[in-house]
Amino acid sequence: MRAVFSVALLSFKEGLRQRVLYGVVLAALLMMSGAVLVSGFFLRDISKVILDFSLATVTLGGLTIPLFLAIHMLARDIERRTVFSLLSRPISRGQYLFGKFNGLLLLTGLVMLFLSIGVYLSLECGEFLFGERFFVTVSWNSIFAALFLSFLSVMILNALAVFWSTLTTSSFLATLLTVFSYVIGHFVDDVVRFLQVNTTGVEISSSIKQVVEIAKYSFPNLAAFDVKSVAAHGMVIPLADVVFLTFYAGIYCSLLLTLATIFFRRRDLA
Amino acid sequence: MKRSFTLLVFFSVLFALMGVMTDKVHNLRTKYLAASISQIGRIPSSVLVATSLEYKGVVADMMFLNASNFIGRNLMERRSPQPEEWQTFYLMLDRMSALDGRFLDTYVFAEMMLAWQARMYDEANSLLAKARRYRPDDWRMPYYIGFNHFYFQKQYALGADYVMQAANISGSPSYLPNLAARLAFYGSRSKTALLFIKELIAQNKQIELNPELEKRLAAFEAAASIEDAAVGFINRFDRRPVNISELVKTGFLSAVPLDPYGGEWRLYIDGHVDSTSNFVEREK
Repeated sequence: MRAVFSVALLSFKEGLRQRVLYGVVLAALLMMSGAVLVSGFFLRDISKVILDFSLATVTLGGLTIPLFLAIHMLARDIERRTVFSLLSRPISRGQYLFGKFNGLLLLTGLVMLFLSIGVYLSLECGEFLFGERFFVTVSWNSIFAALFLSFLSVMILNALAVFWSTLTTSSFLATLLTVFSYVIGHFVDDVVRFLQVNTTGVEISSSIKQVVEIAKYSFPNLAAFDVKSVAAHGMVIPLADVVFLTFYAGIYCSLLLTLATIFFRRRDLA
Repeated sequence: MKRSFTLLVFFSVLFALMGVMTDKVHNLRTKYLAASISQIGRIPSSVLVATSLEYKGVVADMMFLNASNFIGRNLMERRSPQPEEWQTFYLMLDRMSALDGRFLDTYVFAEMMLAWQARMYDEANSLLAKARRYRPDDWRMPYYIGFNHFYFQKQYALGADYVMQAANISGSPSYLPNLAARLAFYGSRSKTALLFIKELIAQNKQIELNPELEKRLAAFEAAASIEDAAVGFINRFDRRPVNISELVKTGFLSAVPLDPYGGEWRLYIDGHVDSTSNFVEREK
């Protein structure tokens, strides 16, 4: 556990040194400020518009870590051979991966926390500019739930980034696969629902149905973690749903990290 | 020092050039920007929903901005959109409702533009019926449908039924049950229109978006004041007034109000008032 913590801390510090991260946070905060101004063009749902944009910005900010930083950091460890200096200590390859994942998770948490403060500020600014009556539907419980679920979906993508990095030798390919996983993760549930509807006159081949069924169980259902619209309208997000999705995310990440460890153990790093 | 100064001069020249060019670029783009509307509404709902990933709300907001820009440009250029443009506009609102079913602005826009401007009552009603599924707690949706049936489609009983449904939703204004009863019984139009427009203006922060509505409000206020005066006259004299001048002579009206559209008022035997202008701007 100590070894995992050390690798996590090291990765976290390494991530903080990446200047691109500060650029992302700054750009995201600017985008939120823009959202406050743009919301003035709307008729009634001003708080909804501010929340749509600012919650999406928090997710986009968080996504920069699995989609860009995570793979870059993992690949650099192997390319610069710093992984050897770590693995020569009493740290197993599994502990190294788990530590890396936790470091990335800490980094994601920090970035999303910063941007969540931005959500609060943009709502306050909006209320100051347009008046309280447009903000009566704002529910902080729902906003917290949406932000937490968004964090969990980025956590799954972090695990996917680690997984694809151990499976391929090319960081470009790993990035591409992570992006595809993200898109499929948001797509697959809608496709499954589409296939469940029997439309008269439309025949769908059984092979397509099988492929979709395989994708359904292979890729995470990231769409389920997207409750930003629900939060933007101030509707209730039941705690039971949040707890259930937390378990789902935990199990999916553990599964991916286990698989990643199996592949990484067999990988020739020399 | 000399190098820094050269750089500063170079920067200043570039900055000034950029300042001049910014306006030129803006003007250059204007000629390509006809008052057109995005064709994104032609994409099937299911495809649009799936491809918007986890940014459905943001995509709906951006589509609203495009639709709003389209209306604003038409107003600025004093141009009436063509029927096919209104159809594209309707499709756009429909896709917005598919992306974010609870998005209130979509439905307020549908009522303001599709019903009042484009006269696409069925399309407006179909969007509002969709809104009732997503916003069952919102009395305005059945109210708008009721008004469309009553005022535009002359289906008085159906209109009254919808307004009554709106009245049964908690949080609805206290005048709705009376209004529904009045709609069903009298079929009076001016007061209903007046209340409706007031509600629309209260809901619409950007009323300057459509000054036509303000003009209509003034017209209906004038018509409603004549109708109210006629009711008062009947209550006192137990007969109908012969004409509007009689209402002025007997003091029920201080003066004949002005029709902002330039028409002459007509008082009907059932107490209903309208104008020869039909509340339509005269061609100049």
